[in-house]
Amino acid sequence: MNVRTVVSAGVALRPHLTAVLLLFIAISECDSYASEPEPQEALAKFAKAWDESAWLPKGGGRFSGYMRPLDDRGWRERMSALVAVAKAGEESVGRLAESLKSGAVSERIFAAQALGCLPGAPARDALMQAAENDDDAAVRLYAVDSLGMIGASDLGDFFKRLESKEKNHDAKRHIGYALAREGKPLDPSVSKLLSNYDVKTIDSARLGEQAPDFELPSLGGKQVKLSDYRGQSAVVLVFVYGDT
Amino acid sequence: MRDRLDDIKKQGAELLAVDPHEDWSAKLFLKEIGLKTGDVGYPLLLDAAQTVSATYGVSFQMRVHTEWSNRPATFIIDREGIIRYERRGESFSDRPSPQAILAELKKLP
Repeated sequence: MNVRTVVSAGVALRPHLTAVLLLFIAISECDSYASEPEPQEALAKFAKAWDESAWLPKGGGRFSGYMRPLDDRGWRERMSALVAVAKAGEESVGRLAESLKSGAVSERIFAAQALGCLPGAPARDALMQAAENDDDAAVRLYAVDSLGMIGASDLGDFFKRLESKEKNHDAKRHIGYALAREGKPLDPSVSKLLSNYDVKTIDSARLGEQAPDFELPSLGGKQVKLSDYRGQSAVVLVFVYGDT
Repeated sequence: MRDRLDDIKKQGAELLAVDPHEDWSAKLFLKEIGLKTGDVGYPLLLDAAQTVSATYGVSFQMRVHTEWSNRPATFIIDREGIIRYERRGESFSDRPSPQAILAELKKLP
């Protein structure tokens, strides 16, 4: 019996098999990336990984409290969850919209993030509702991001109204970003890359081993492939965050 | 880092930067620090799906109210494609100095 069957059976026969399902999820924690989780399983994992206690202590500059420790697993779970949702595509829209409306904070955050990565401008009304009315600033922020990503060119006035009443500094900044993208939707290649991503390769770059190959577009519009440098020159690969 | 680009090239290496933003957003950031696309001097690669960042283990989720991001990280990959140096930052200022990178490049065969 494969993973998919076990999870589906567990969900179908709720609540009798809930305990079995939870046990299964607990066991699968040991080997999280060896298989692709179902979207609902992914969501449960993401919620669990959203652990406030994992943050580094505050102090030493405005941003130091923002970065999680190197051994934090939360981002891996989130990436796995996002990939699972992207693979499921439209199938996950209904559940995500439901989570966005009535889930716990961690579920609403994930749903608000994930809906922007799915093709077909899904759940726009639910995102607008969350962007305006959710109690949690992170949910509002991500809902605004996702509305921008689905290419809502007619939402300029809506964003401006939100901007005028948003009290949270970061959420307000992201409303500014949503306005700055001027209705430009997320490039469809992004959801395609996510749905084709093999979660087994998460965190697989190792010192002394072959660097995992990749091909990415440059800001100038050229495709750059790491392996094209092989035999030609060494590469200094620097990961940045808009701080070039 | 841009100031030391020539030194890096003299060591027979190329600099590649990976940014987790979409193109419009990366351009906005450059504009905020007074640069145009053509000013960067090295390929600024856009990893909006963050799959490359995930593979290299440098993705992380910032505290609520901000976003999904790259931690500052530097890898040196030799001509044969082998990773010879790696550093994943634990804070936003945690980066090797250009001198340290040049010293690592000199160690390459």
